[in-house]
Amino acid sequence: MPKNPFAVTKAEEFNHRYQELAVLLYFTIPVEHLLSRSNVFIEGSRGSGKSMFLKFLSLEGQIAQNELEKEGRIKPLPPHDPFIGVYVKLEATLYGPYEYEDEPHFDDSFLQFFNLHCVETILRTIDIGKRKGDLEIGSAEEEATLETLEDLLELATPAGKPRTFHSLYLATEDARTDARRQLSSPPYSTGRSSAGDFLWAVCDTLCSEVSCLSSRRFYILLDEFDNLTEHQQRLVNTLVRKRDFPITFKIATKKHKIVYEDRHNSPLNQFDDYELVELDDNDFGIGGTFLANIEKIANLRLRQAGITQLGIKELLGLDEPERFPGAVAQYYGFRMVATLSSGIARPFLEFCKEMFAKAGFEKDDAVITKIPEDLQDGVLKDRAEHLYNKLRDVNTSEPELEALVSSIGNLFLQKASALGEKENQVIRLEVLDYHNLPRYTRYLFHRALEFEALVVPNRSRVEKNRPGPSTGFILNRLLCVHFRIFPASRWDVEVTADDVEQLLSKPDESIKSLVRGRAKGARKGKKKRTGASFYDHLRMTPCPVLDRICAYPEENPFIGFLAIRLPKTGKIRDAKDLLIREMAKRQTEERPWELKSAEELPLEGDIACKACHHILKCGFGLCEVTKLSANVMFELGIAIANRQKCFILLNTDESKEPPEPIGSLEYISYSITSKSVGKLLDEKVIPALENVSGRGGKIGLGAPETLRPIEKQAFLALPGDDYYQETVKDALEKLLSQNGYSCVVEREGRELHELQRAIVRIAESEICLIDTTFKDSVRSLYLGVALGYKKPFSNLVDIDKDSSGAVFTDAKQKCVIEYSGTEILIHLIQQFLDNRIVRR
Amino acid sequence: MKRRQSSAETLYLCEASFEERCLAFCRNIPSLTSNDKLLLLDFQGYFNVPQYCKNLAEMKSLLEGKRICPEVIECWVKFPMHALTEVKNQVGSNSTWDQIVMDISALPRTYIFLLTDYLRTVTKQLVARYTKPIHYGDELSRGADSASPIPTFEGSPSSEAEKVLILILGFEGNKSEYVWETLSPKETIALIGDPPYEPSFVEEARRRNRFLLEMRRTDIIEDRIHTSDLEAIFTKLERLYLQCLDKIEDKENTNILVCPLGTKPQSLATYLFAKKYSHVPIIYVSSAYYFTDKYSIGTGETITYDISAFLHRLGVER
Repeated sequence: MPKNPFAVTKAEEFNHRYQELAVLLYFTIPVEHLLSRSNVFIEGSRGSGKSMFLKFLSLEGQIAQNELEKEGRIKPLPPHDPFIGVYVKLEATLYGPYEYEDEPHFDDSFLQFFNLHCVETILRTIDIGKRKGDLEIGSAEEEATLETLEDLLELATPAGKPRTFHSLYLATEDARTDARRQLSSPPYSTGRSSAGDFLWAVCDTLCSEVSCLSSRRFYILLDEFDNLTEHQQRLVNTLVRKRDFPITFKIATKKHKIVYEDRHNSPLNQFDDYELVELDDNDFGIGGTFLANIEKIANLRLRQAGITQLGIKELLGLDEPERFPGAVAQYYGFRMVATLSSGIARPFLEFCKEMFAKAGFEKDDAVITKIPEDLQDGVLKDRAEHLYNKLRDVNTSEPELEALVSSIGNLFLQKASALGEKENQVIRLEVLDYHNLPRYTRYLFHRALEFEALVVPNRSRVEKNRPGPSTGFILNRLLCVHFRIFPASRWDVEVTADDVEQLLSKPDESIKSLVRGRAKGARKGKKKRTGASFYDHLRMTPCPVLDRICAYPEENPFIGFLAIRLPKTGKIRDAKDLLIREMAKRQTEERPWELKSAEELPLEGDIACKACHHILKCGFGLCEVTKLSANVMFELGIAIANRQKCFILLNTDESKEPPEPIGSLEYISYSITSKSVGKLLDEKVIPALENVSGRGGKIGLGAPETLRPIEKQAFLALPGDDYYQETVKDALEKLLSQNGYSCVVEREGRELHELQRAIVRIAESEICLIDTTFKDSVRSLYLGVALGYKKPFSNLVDIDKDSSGAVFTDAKQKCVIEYSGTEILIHLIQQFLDNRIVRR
Repeated sequence: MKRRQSSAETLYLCEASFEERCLAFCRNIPSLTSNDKLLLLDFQGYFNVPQYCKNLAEMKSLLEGKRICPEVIECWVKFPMHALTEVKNQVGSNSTWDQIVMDISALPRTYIFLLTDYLRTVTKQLVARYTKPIHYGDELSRGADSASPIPTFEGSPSSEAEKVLILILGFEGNKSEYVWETLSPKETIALIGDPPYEPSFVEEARRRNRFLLEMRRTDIIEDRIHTSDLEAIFTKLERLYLQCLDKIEDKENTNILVCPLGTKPQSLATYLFAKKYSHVPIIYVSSAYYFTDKYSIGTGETITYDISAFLHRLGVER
């Protein structure tokens, strides 16, 4: 054991001393998560212990654990299924970007390489287990297994050499090296090992042929997953999604470099596909849990080094440094050292390591007592300056990076001073519309995370009345020492993308303005306004159908619109009548509840206008989506754009499951009986509407308040067939480009985030071209959103393919463009664009 | 450059760059016969870099003055494999040139490795020409994008092994810091170029790599390596490699890696080293941003290296 108890701060520094690792490991997360049969993603900052946990789960780690358990030196693990942990480090020297990632068959070739890498490590692990006596494998069993595996791997043991796990491991290593080399130079050739089920085939063989492995799962422990490009992560995630016995993945990654999607861009499902474990402290070092954990980790190390007379609290002291507005004079004491480590174990251990050495405690005859406060303060200040100098050093970073971090730090400092002594705890920045930042500025934020000057909080913030979360960044607490800020975080500073740009270009001016704005708002007890609201502008925008500013009708909170299919007969007709009748039964003088569908409304000339006007008048809406109908979705789109309270209804007499496109929206199911409809209204709808401050009925979709429209951007949504996606799309893109428009194209969204992305894009765009041929429900929703956001739009209908493709079959909107062939379409769209220009 | 024998065929290869020294090759190239050919690598993405555009225009003008019409190959710094394919197309699949003369003065490192390795196979004599600058700019580049093996020079590293990094330092401390942090080697041998082109360059290199050298860690060993003598650079690399190998107890679980960040001749010598020790991965680091306006200044001495002869001595044949 080294003389300095904190000498080892990285998993790699344990080398292969797994016993030491097992003794010093303290579980800051429930160990059951790690031992479970589920796939697990472990997210955490550098130094948070990701690799330590994976190494502990490896076979070598488990052998050490068992030995120490038997000796009674450590506690046994909770009951769990037997497993073989295979530690696979995805090193930057093996993984990373390739020149030809877009080439055909790259994916297969990459999977071949990845599979071979995993198999190589599996064979190496079994070889180690066998040599250490943990895995009892007879020679006949080994011979038979390897024969099968050689066939599977298309490898052979060199003639004259014994067939062992070791020799096959070496042969696989060579094959993996070749596969890696091949990734650099197409054309790619693939083999059996590039198949998606190849890993399973190998592990199945091992489980079926080797008796000591028969009931064990293989835990593939992927470390440094963030070294993979996003595309490569998607390929591996596709394997993760498989979930079949006998393979489970435990994956460690930095949190700002992870993609939870598979190769088809479908999101992985938390809970179904994987569990998430976050190692960073939610409170970034000031929470009680972290303090307790870090105390135990440090005390374990002290005891292991033979220092039993004092613990970490005594070594660092419990005194709190004196504080003055904005900062503290000196930095010392257990709590402060823990706080400045930002809730990550390694920085804390690094601070202790340096303090311990500088105090002279590494000498043989040293008497170990409390580390002097001056010395602690000196170490922490040096470390803070070192971290900041890394940003400032001309050799290590872009000057804009230092400018960004410096502006943010100074903003917090000024803000803290403005808020006064009691509230001087500001180290969190919330960028409300991060997606609006220019690409280079986003790159700078990314670099600041790389340099650990900023940290991503575990939880995003969703403020009231905002459809989506803002993007948060916390200043590394150690940098608070540099900026003379008190290293705690009670308040945040909300900024827009524009503010960030101002911070970079005119920092002093911008900081003053941001500080003044917040302080003023704070005095008046109001929330800070972050620029003109998108929705404020909306009210003053002309209607794209009538080409004039419509008067907004007064909203009646007791009238609801009922968006529902309206066939002449059938169950849905009964449902409509029941819903209207049952709602009417609940009318009182104070609460004159009423539901109206389009049928109950007078004619208004244009059906789209009629629907829009009605929805704006209503206080809420019920959307019956059991069998998707284009006009129901259109009305839902208008409601979403106008931030109406909406309830999605599904009648179980017609379907047990909601239709796929809106499966991700919360819905209320009912059956078509008076009792069930009554229950729906009494227990779900009316209570939510009466709870004025509640979110009941609000669908979490819509453009953010801070959204800024993009000039000359066109939103385009077409059917998924090749003809539309190739011929029509290309022609439209070309035409729009000739007219000076950039294009954003959306297919039918299936998941909530896809719908949200499309809705934001519609809100951003200047015009929308949406094809509802085949009466596609999602594109009908887009159409409703476009109308709701008052975007000049065209509802395209290919009458060759679907003569009744318009959203409303019984009345044509003014904005419908029926076309037959691309040439006619282009001509009509050019007219649409010309008319727009004239109008403007 | 001496005029070659009239019956022989010579292929010349040069590159446009934002560094002024790229012009030296065109100034010195002799007039070509109908059997000769000149390939000019024109790097895309520099259309808005005045220094690059100026140098490219001057190169074309110099060649026009000599009535040489180059075959221009458009390539991207980040896509060396693509450029290699283009060069192969121009060189001809089964051709054998009497001599190939390539300029490496401002050629990206990945290109030096890939092109040298290909061109040596299609000629009896591969010659590299290197022109030193008079001076380097105060700051060459910033940040780093990635640290990964040069394509086809990945070696055969054991996975999950500890690393010993032989790091040839240049003036880009950003790169040395990045590669050290990315690879987390167990031991690093940091090599400073000596003798320097200018007496002040040793201290300059130390200053620019101070992050690495001033940590005073026991696992970072500072040493010197020649800046332009291929033989000396190769021998030093080989000796260090063999010493490391000798010292390592667990050879199966240790990878030795080489990362050349210094002069172009040092990269060329690293290529030669990689040909002899093909299992050693050669690491390349790319910067996020280059100071193209004054990366290097002026055109200094030109050195010629006979690569084929050197490879022959190493026992590496075509």
